[in-house]
Order: sequence, then structure tokens, then C-alpha cells
Amino acid sequence: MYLASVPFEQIGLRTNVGTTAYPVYTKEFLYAVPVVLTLLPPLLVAMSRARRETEPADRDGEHDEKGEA
Amino acid sequence: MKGAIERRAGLLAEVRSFAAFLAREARPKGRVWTPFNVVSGLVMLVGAVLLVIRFAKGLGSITNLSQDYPWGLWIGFDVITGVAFAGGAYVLTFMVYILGQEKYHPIVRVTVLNGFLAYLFYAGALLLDLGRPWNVVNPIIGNAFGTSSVLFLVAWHFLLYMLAELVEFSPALAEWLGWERVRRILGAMTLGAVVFGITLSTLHQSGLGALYLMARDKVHPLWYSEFIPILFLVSSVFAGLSMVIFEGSITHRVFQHRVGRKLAASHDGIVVGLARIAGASMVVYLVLQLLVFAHGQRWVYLGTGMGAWYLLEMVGLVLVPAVLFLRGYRRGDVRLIRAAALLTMLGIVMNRLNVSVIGFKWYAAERYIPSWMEIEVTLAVIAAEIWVFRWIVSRMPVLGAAFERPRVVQAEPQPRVAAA
Repeated sequence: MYLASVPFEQIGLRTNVGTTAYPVYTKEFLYAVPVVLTLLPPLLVAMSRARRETEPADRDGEHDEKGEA
Repeated sequence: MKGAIERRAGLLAEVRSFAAFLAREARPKGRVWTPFNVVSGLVMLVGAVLLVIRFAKGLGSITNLSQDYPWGLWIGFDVITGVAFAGGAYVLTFMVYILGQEKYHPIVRVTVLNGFLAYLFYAGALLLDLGRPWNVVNPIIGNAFGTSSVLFLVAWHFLLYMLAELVEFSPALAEWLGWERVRRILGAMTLGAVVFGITLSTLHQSGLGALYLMARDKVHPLWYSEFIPILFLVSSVFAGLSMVIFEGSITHRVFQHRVGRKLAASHDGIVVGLARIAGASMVVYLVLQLLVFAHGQRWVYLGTGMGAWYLLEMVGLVLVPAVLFLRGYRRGDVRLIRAAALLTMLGIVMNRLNVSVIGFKWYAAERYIPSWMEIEVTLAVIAAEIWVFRWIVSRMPVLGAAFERPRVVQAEPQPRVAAA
């Protein structure tokens, strides 16, 4: 805590530090994390399944088909 | 009794032949005293000496880092830029395993390997930068679960993503060792690892940007915005793809004998396809940047020196290469595409450094400039990564092998058949 009889700028203290608590800056981003973490994987699996079901014959790929579900 | 002894002898012979195989593989293949080896070897040697000094005497002994600038080149370039370049792995696995674009299958392995090594070395370089590197386990073992911290998220994601990439790459390892059953098990885990890996990548590519959300007053307003996470994510797409194109053009020259005829024939088509995706994602990125530019009313800064620097980045190293990419795609011009990839990579380096180093505390009277030793160590890390990459590519089925599949693996199985 600093007390001064002159404005802070005059003694070289920063005055643009703001009043926002640090966690607030990233709160929105961090709220998006569980959403992405839970929604993206099923979406990706669904896309891959949909693609495979529309494809006539499965080509010989890198992955084995078994146990992928 | 006799059976047990025989089994033990068999096991011993197995272990011995395996050790012999590893010893054989550990030996260098090809010439040792090449100019590249000498130069990069020296760079690593000097880097190692500097690192001994750094760990003995602390960060201040070889870096220009201070309380005012705790994050310098090792974070801004090695970690933040390196991870963006490693983005090719998640983009390609998405295209091949999720969208089923088999055309790109031949380069998946080398890209995943590249991504994995990038994380191992460049995120690993984080350890050099930590004042007390042993504390790096704290976020993992729960000594400090900082669930409201982006850094905590990034720490976990780095770890998990490295594991996911290791699983994605592991079939190549198993093939190299000649472990067919293990390979099948690992191969079955690929899709799971890919889905997990893409999700993690989305979050930590943007997470690296989110770290800077907290530095609202420190990052230059031309680079700060609430959208940094999204901009980092979108730019990691073309950063990664440019790296894939760049790496491919070198790999195909150096490892000609490992590439295989099929991949060599299809590679130009692959590059042209990648150019289209890179170009398109750059257009998306530019539109986003334009929105952020207007939203933040950034035109007031354009007249300054930083404004010129910003324009150079956005026009010279994003817009121009985007046009070159799309033109290269139209004409099927691989050389033009390579030039575009190089420009794009420069732009990414510039962008990440602008956020993390150059535009960081841009107002301060005393600025951070990395010491030559910081640059040296960075070069040493890159050299070490290239050495490991080369070692793996010249031994394991990374290039070509993945799609010329029925071919049996390099690992000579004869000694072990004899032992069994």
C-alpha cells in the first residue's frame, strides 16, 4: 500500500494497472474448455462414422477397423 | 524343470538378439563428417556448455531475462512459435482419419513424428526456462491444481498431447521392432488418440494465446485483443501446414532412398492440396484480423513504427503468401507454394514474437533483447531435434512405408526367429 501527497505519476508509479482481477481476463476462455472437451470428441467421432458409412468400400487404411467404436 | 530352463535360455537369447538389434540400429547410417553434422554438432556442444552454466549459476548467468521480462526468447520462440509449427499434426490427422482424405495418408506419419518431436523438444525447452524446473510436476501431481489458470491447462495439455501423439506414432515403432501383435493393438488405438489429440490441440493452441489475455496493458494494442486465442488457433492451421510443406521439401531431398516411389510420385499433388487448405485458412485468419482491427479501432496506431511493423506482418507475411498459396494451387506450381510456405513461417515467427516479446511491454524504457547465448541454446535445441528426427526417419517406417503397406518392415526378424 502506498500513500503519497503527490499524484502517483510524478513518483513513477504506474496508474494504468486497472481494477480487474486477473482471473477475470481468462474466465471466458476457461469456461469454454469443458465445453470443447466434451462436445468436440463426439462430434469428431460422428464425422468419422458418417464418412465411413457413406463410403462404399473401406480402403485399406493405416488403422485397424476393429475396436474403434 | 527342464522346460523352465529352456524357456529361460530362450528368453535370454531373445533379449540378447534384441539388444544386438538396438546396438546395430544405434550406429550411424551414412557419413559422419558432413558439414551439417560438424556445424550442428558444434552448436549443440556449445549449447550443452551454456546449459551447464545456466543450471549451475541460474538463469541470469546466460540470459537477459529479468523480473521485468521473465519470458524471453525461450518461451516466445521455442515454446509459443514451436507449438504453432507443430500444428500440422492435428490438422493432418483430422483430414486423414476423420475426413478420410486418403490422399494425405502417406505423410501422416512423418508429420505426427515431427509434431511429437516439436513438443518434446520445444515444449521441453520450457524446463530450461523454469527457475526451479523440478517444480514442473506440481500441476500434474496436484501439488497446485490451479484450475482457474490457463498455464495449468497448457501444462496438462502438453503432457496429454505428447502421449496422444506418441500413441499415434507408435505403430511405426512397433513395426520397426517387428512386434506385429503390439502393432495391431496400437493401430486400433489410433482413432481414439486422434480424436483426443485434435481436441487437446484446439484447446492448447488457443490456450497459448489465452495466456496473453492477462497482459492487457502490456501487449501492444495492435496485437492484443480478446480474440487472441482464436487467432492463435486459426493461425496454427496454416503455420502447421507450411511447416509440413517446408519439411517435406527438405525430407524428400535428404531421405530420397526412404521415400519410396509411390510417395515421391504423389507428393506434388499432396503439396498442392495442402496449399489450398493453407491459403483458405489464411483468408479466414485475415478476415478475423480485419474484424479485430476494426473492433479495436486500431487505425490510430498505424502511423507509428509499430504500425508499419504490423502492416508488414499482416500484408507482407500473411496476405501475400495467402495469395501465393492460392495461385500455386491453381497452377499446380510447387515451387511457388514452397516460397509461400517459407513466407508464412516467417510471418508466424513474427506474429508470435510480436505478441510475446517484441510488442510485450513496448512502452518500457529498457527493453529485453535476447543474449547471444539464448539464441545459441535455441539453435542447439533445433539441431538436437533434427538429429533425433533424422535418426528415426532413417530407421523406422516413417516415409512411404505407411502406405506401401504390405511391405515387410526393415527390422530384420531372422535372429529372433532363430532364437525362438
